[in-house]
Amino acid sequence: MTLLAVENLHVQFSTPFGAVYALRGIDFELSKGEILGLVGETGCGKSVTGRSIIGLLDENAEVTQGRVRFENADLLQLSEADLREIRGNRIAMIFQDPAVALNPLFTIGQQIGDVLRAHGADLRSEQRERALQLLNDVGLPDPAQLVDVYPHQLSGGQQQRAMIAMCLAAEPDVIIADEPTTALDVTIQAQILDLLRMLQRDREISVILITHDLGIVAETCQQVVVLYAGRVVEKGSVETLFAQPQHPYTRGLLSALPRAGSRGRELNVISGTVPSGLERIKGCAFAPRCGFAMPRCHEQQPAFSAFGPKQQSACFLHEPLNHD
Amino acid sequence: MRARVEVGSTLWYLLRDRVALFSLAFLILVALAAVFAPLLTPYAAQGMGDPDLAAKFRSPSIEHPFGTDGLGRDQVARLMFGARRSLSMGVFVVVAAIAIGAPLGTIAGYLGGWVDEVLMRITDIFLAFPPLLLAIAIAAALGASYINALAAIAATWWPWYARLARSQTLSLRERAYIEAARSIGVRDRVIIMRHIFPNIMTPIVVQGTLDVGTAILVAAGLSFIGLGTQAPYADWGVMISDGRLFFLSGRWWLSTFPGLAIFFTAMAFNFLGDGVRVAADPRLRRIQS
Amino acid sequence: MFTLKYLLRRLGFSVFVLVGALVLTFFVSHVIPSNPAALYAGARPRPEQVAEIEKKLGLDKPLHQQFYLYVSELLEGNLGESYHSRRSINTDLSIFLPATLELVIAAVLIALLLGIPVGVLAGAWPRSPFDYATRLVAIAGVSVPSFWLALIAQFIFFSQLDLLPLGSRISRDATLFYPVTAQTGFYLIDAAISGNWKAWADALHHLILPALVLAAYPLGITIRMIQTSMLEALSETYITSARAAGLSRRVILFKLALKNAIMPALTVVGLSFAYSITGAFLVETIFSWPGVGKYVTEAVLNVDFPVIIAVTLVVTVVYIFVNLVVDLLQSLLDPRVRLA
Repeated sequence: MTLLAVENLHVQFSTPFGAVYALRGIDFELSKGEILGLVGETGCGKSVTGRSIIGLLDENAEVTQGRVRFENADLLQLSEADLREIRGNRIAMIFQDPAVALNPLFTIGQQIGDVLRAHGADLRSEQRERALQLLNDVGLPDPAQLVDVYPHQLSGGQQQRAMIAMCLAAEPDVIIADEPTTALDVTIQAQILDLLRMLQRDREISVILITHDLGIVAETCQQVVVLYAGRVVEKGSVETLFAQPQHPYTRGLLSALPRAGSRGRELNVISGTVPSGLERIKGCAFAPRCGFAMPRCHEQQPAFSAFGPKQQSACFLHEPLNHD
Repeated sequence: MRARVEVGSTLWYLLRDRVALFSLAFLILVALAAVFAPLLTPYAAQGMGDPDLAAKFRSPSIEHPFGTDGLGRDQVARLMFGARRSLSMGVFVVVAAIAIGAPLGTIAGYLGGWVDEVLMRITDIFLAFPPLLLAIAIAAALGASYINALAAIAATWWPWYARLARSQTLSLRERAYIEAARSIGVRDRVIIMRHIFPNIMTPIVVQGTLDVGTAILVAAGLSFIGLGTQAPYADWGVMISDGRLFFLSGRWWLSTFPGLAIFFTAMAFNFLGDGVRVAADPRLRRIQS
Repeated sequence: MFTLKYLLRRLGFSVFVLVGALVLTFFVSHVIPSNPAALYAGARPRPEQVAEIEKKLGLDKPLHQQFYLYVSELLEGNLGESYHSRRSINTDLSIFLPATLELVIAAVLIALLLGIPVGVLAGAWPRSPFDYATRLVAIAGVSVPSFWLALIAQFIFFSQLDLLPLGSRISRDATLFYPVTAQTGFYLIDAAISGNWKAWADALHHLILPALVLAAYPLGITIRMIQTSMLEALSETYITSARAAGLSRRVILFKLALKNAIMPALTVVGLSFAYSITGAFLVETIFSWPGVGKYVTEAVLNVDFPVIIAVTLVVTVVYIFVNLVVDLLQSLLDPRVRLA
């Protein structure tokens, strides 16, 4: 069942050097209780996508087209007040670096309390009780003590768990996790991912996991959406897409992936560089780096071709050859 | 290459900042009035201090737009000649303070160790005095004059630039190209002169622009209490002080105009400095513009 | 609580700058002047006066012995005597220092009580008309010469409106008919503890104008710093994460961002104090305020060098102490500093 659908999302930034086309038409659907990986190189628009879903774009950014459907509503059309009801309460967000995402001057308990208060809880004793429960749920040892400490007194992994506890406070249906493990040690990374999987399994929370790491996607997600220069190039279930990648870009990414499932490698091993976003791209954005590029790839945007019920890829190679 | 891009985008932002541009235009006008004062006023002699007792205490008129003082001197001419001292004092204080502070701070930051420690502790001591106070004591010790006031203020101002230059140098020292130059045995003197100094000047110039306005205020303060420019010459601070005794008894024009001159000039430097500061700092651009 | 280690380190630093300030004032008084004895003797000294002073100050001795003499006099609490009035500087300062501190504290309070809320609101609503007006006021505050502002204020509130007195700490009527008995030297406090409310109101009436004028510069600094730190706090990731959690704008602005923005406020206290003192040196004369500023200004005119040096030293000691208190308070409030 589709819980959230991003449709034809376009976002651009105004900069002193002109408009930057960050998203040029993003489409994907998130089903209830699944983990969807949003994957791509730095600057491909994966974080922008995550942020535009709950209206947290920077001031110089503008959604120029598209919809984000969530329960009969278009989130992009909601007022700030209505969005506030959604944020935290229905859709929560985890950030890359918990050290800066937690407020240094308030204790963990106070910060969880703020979220609880924002979404209905009034009694202070009740809040504390809930905070202790939440800290316990995310696997933090000795919640009774941690509830009263300041973020800098925790380790990175503990901070991220506390951040997740904050996110869970109002029992959201969707968590957007923006590179939640990038700032952490490798062993801690695995624990945090386990925690996300557990939440998905036990509470049926859907997760949009934004990452540049295909290894993480393979281990954690059911669905995957591959972004390149602000567009989706391929999407599908993890099993089919990893087994039979269709798009040349995805293939490039997967062949660059070390076999033994080790994480932490950057993906920019395909030769060439990502387009800057300053110029309008006519054809397929990947064409300049693509080994199979044809003349029309530089002129037209390819449409999606389906590969079975669970996979789609946008490339002219999938279409029957027509010599023009 | 990188530096050029930075200067380019800084200028781009600055040119969009109308307040900063307007301030700059105002300052250029004031500076031109100061430089060409003898050509611009028929009262050049009075501007330099000669009395004209026949014309004393005239209230503002077409002939004397800002009136005349107790010695019959045209206030417009006085202001233009006073601008020479007030402006130059502000600029020279900052230039002198940078000339002392920037090299010391760079060397301290680059060499580190005990040199750094000693220098920073010295700046701590200077900064332990409330501003102006130490300058008053030094100016008094040196004797009241324009040049001594300038020296006294610069002597209390350089630690700020030493600290700024040091922190900038520290962050540069870690850069790969500096380490590379060191590792292949390029001499320290060459690295400092060729690689570090040019790179730390941007933030120092930004701070300097902001500080000129304050330096003009401080200099006017010293002049006001009699430790700066001496008669028959005047700067704006002296003019306020001279007019003070007659100010409340109806000769309002005496202190008002020199005060406004300081006020507007200091404001222009502050606006310009703010503009440069924001334009030169991508982070500030993002949150302030 | 802050750790003992932090406390000791901070105290040690204060002692260090104190000693440094001593060395520097010694340098300014004994080394820079081409003829220190002549300076000490004041305006137009007679030769025998100069010789007497040279002997008294030990200027014929080597420098390190001179320094020893200088410090040992100070350690006995003796600041010397004015060469103009021949009075003990200690006695003079015991009267003038409280007068200045009363004025400076009033100015600091005005600057903070007005500047912090205004800065916070301006930072909370960037690019609003209020923001632009605030920036203008802040820049005007740090650009206006205090002594000129004092004159203009007198012109408006005394000459034109006749609302406030021209100057001095208290009216002649008060000193004649309901005098304040000096205990702390702060008139407002002394009048209050003796229940002398007429004198209290009179002293307050006299305090308003000079305090407002002195507050202009620190007010500008306070507004700018608080506004900037508010803007910076609002651009932090933890604000984005608070928004992502659905917290209301009110909570984000006035609880989360404010607490982070207010941290530099204590630094602003120290700065405001410093700039108010600086202002006091220039405007006390204009308001006939019998404080150290007027004392020094007159000393400058009379080339009364011992007074200048003594005031420099004493006011700096007060300033060092204020900074120490501010730092310790800050470490109490900020959990990160406290545990560092």
